[in-house]
Amino acid sequence: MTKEIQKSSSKYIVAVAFAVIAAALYLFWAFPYRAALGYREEMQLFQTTGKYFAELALLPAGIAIYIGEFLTQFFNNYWIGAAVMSLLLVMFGLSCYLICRALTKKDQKIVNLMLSIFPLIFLWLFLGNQDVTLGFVTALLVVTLGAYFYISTDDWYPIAEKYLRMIVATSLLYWLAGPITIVFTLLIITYTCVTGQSSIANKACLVIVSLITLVANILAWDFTITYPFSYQLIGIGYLLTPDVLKADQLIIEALCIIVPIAAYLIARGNVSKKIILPVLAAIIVVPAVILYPKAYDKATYRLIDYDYMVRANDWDGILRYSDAHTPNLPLSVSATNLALGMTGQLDSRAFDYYQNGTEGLIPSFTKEAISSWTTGEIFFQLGMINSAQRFYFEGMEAIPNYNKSSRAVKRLAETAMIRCDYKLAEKYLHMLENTTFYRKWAQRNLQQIKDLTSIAPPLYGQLRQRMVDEDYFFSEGEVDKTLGQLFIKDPSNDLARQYLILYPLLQRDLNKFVQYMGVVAESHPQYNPLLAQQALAFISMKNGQPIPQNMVSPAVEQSLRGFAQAWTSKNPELIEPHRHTLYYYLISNE
Amino acid sequence: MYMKSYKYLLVCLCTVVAACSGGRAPEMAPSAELPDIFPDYRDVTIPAQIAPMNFDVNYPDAEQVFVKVTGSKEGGMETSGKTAEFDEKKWHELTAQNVGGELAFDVSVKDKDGEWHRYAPFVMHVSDLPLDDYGVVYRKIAPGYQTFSKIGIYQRELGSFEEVPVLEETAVEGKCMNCHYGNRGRADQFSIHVRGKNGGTILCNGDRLAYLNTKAPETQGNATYGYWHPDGRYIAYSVNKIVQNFYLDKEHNIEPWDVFSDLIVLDTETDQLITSPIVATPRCETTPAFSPDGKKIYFCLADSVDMPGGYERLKYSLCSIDFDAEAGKLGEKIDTLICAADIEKSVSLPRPSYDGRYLMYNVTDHGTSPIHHADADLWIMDLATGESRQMDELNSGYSDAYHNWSTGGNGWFLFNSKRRDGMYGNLYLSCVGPDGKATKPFLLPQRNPRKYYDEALHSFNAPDFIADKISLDMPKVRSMVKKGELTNVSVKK
Repeated sequence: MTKEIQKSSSKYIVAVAFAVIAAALYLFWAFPYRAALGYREEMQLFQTTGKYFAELALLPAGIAIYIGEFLTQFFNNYWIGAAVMSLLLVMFGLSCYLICRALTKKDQKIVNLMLSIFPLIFLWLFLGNQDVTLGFVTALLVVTLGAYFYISTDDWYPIAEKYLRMIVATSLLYWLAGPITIVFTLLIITYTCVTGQSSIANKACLVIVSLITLVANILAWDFTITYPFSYQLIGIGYLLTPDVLKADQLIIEALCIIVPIAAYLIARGNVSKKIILPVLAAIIVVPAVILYPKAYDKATYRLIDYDYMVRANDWDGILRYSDAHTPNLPLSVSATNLALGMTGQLDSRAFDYYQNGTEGLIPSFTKEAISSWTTGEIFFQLGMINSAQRFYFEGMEAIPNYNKSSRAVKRLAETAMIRCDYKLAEKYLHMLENTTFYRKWAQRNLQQIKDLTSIAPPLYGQLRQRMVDEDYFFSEGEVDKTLGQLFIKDPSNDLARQYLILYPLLQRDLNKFVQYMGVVAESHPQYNPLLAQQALAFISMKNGQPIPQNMVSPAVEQSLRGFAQAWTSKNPELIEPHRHTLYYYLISNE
Repeated sequence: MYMKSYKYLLVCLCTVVAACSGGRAPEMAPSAELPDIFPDYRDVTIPAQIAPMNFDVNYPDAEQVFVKVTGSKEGGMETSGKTAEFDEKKWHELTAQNVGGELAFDVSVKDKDGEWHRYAPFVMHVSDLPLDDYGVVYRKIAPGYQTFSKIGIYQRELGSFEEVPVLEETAVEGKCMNCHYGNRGRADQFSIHVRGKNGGTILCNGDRLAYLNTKAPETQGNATYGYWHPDGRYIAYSVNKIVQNFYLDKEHNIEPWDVFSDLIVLDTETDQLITSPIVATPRCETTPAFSPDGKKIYFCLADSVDMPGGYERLKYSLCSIDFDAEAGKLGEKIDTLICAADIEKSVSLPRPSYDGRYLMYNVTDHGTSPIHHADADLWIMDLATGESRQMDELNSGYSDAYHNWSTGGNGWFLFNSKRRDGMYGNLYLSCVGPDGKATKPFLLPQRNPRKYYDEALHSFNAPDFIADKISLDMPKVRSMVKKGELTNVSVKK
């Protein structure tokens, strides 16, 4: 009876184990790492056009990249995206399990299961690198499943046909999955070597032919495509950075070979389960625990989280996140300042968070996508539509694998509409019309362009209103002048007003601050936010003048006196509570 | 039983084939209205050698298009489908039969309700001036600012839709490529600049393939805009340091300008630079072009102004300087052909026709980068009389620039225009006839032009004609660029 129960439970153990893994992976991607899904989605613009398919289909692994990008588009909805991600990973694990099973031909389910989890864990860790595409996962899946089907049906064919089969399969897989086909070749070689059906001479021939086929494919594709030869070995499209070969990629590829060999050896060696299972458990758990922090680098993922929230315009979310994790990198500081500005708190709470000078308000251009887009979003919200257009465009062009971006193209369409460049907007909207998730939005906007009377959704109209009228150059060295122009053009532009006031304070230029307050006072005479009061009190104290009671609240005066006392004491413990104040920023030069 | 199934299958297949291939429009009287088509090929003049002028109709309800083409001299053809797509072989036969004549296009459109509308026929004139060049070469580049994704230089056969890369950015690992400059369309004489790490100038001159560092210690920078001497020994370049300023208003976008620019001439036999203090001044000398006889260099010259504030005062004159090819020497004085102060405009990109009859150039309100100025228009000078005129017959409200002449000297020329959307530059062709007037320009034909141009995210940058197909020794180019195997140039004393 007990044996029957054991047998019955062992029957389902693989399914249950993979279901549990799938559930865990789903929760992983749907909750703490959903921003990583958004990042991958915004790094592509998957279009359902023949041209899009044809361009990729002409590359080795192009089909895998196409399928990967097709699946990545679903990351637009993270509930579906997490399901896609976990399903792909589990399918990979399952394919490894099936290969082990096919190779061992012995009932060692648990051992095979545990072994197949090992490459799955490494793939999951590799996906911690945000630049690994689903094209790589798809390619891996294609070759491992290909190897499984090859092995499981090999007995059906006579030796002569085996050669033909192997040559066709290798060439087909090379086209579908690219250089990762080496995994297939090595698995087939392993299988050929361990099966005892044919003579040694036959085995040797098959091994040689399979290697020659692989090399021939590499050379043939190298002749066809205009990429350096090194790309042929790395794989085009496995990573967003196509010229980089990561050791992790090689480790996963190696594991796909080592794991079935290990399964075979264990099966032959009759090793006691009591020994092998704890060892395997340790092999699985230990690297996962040790490598996880490195694979899912906290600092990188914080930036990805900020990028995700900036894209969603989730200002409250950004502030909650910044309260929990101190923003200290240019992107996180600028995102936090934007969120403060959008919620009308920048001129009172800016120094509640770390400030890194004016770069924290409007960072300089860097040839990198998410920084450019965050800065582009700042420009967009300020009403600097040309600059927003430029930064979104540049960010898109900075995607290293030459992809276009759904996020950027959407904003480019919007900036064109705001600038009344309707023909240009139509071009971008037609591109988005060829997508699954942006089609309706694009069609709605195309209709609005046709019917110009309804072309002014409140946001576009407001932002168009904010644009300066005269031909005026934007200068990175004189951002404050541009902010002044924006504010003068539209005094109701609250964001420009807050940025204008904070900018000289971040430069520690109090004279300029007084001057800009004067500009603001012309249209907003009652405007006297906390930071303005603090700056005014600071100036008065610095100049040895009495603090103007009508403009500075008693609480501000008290806080300044507290700071002055602490600062003059030079006691770090007394100064520490004032670290997040304007006074400290102005005086400390930190 | 099986026979019956096959019959059903055959009927189904026939139905599908019939549905896909469309059908002829019923006989009906045409309306007086001309069809609204994209690209607007109505009343254009085409060379007989051009690829099929496929087009689409601008009717959202259109389900099917039927076009009957009739030659004024002989022949005709029909096509039917979602768009008007002509058979390449039949097209070439028809255009060859009607050189000097016209093709009349009788267009009928079936709407969603199955109703046919027949429009008044429009014509295309088949020029008796041949366009014998193999094709065109251009750089496909996203119209960005500082970052560029996939850039490539491509060649496109004019008689077909075949486009093949000359050099793609992927082949040289992340390098930015600048324009291809050929010698009168010769496939074996051209230069291409590669920027970035290990950057240099790829020089192909006959059998010689070299990778040059065009900056000598005495010069201010690398070679930029180039033009070959007709004998193939020299290339005139300007040396520019270009910066960009960005506007904030709705009407403008970007203002590139030169911090400095001088002229140099590269002797490709000795790898020496010919310079002269007269064209290396604090003023800005740029965009040189040899005259067809090679005895002078046209170029643009501006007094330096305080930039970027004085950008509206930065106006270039059209000038020339003599060049002695035998001695390898620049002349002693500069002639001014068009004075910027007189016209209160700025001239750029002079391009003489190879028969020496015309000089085409750009005019903008100010500055030196016509592709970034919506007001950039093409002007033409009759070199025999010195008279200039604005080419109103082809200019648009957007940038029209980067023009050059076909190598055959029959008046055909190409240019880049942003008239479609103001952002992406496309390639247009036209012909200056014996009367000196240009024909209505036509957009470079594509197999499915709407789909092609809507989906294209690149500009056709710096286009030019090529007489033959270019073949580049890619392994050697890759190796030279990767290793940075640069040959240094020196200044001729």
